[in-house]
Amino acid sequence: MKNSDQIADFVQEALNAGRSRTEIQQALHQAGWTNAEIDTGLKAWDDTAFLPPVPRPRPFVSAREAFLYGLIFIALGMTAWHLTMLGVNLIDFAWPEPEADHRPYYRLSSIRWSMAALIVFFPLFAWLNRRANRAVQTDKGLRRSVVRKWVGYVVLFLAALSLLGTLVFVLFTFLNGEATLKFLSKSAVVAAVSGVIFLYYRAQLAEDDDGE
Amino acid sequence: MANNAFPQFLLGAGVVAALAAGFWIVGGPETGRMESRDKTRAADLQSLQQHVICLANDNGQTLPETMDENPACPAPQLTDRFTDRPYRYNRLSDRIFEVCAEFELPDRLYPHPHFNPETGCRRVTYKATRDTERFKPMQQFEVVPQ
Repeated sequence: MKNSDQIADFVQEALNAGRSRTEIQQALHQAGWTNAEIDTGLKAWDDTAFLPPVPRPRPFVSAREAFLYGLIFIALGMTAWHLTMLGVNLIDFAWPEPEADHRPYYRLSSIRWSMAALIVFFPLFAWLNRRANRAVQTDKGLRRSVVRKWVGYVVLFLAALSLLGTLVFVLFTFLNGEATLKFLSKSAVVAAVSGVIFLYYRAQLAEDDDGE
Repeated sequence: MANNAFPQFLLGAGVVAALAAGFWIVGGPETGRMESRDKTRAADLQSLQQHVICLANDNGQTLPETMDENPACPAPQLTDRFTDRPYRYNRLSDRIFEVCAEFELPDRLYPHPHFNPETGCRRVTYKATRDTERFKPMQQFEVVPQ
């Protein structure tokens, strides 16, 4: 049993027994619960005189949501990865290293592979994401989807890691004296892709939180 | 939605720009077919090189004047199978020869030290004495007990 469930059950019983919210708060406080935990427990029940206590809507998990957001997550991941690879490989192909006598022939199939993946996965992502956002607009209850929230935070986490990793790598290369214009433009591709995704999901999560 | 719209637009614009750059720099399916035809030509040149060496070995270890086949060395593909133009054979000296083809995108071929993408030729030095050198009798030492 999660803490929040335990506390919510207690609040329900106390409200049923006719105790006031202040009394419940004091009792919980004395038992060692923090104010934030007590707040969450009390918030699970609507603040009216109606008995039995009226539950407030809670986050939910559904298989349908898991399918939709799983697909969105994979489609976004493939888009981000192949967009980055395509950018980096195109830079390498267009400006080959003069000292390396190997021509960038091996980039060709990689570039074509990334193009094919982008043609499939980016429209899929755009379409599914639009669908999901429209559904949330019409039914505000969908904002409470646990899967939507988790996928949002996992994307945000990965985008943040990618940005930080790029920053460290750029600084390392700079200190090593190897930061050429070509290297910097390749890093800019990685940073731009992760940055845009980071901004997008930060805005989405902030908006979802406002609705609650 | 307003906060979301701009990053979403940027992502879409990035994908479209990257795909356009990809088609522009790497080329579409027709370029892919050119590369594939060039690969076949490069493989043909390699067989021709072996053929010329075979002819030379059969010809008293001197490079032949032409690539005509003989019973010991049956001819491989002697013409470009896509354009029907014959592959060229240049005897540059007693030891050096070239086999050449007309490539469409020679810069995109796997680099090889013998192959010159500018001329489309594979230049080879024929080492006539290679076999006799390799198989000459070892030096013999007599072991004398002290």
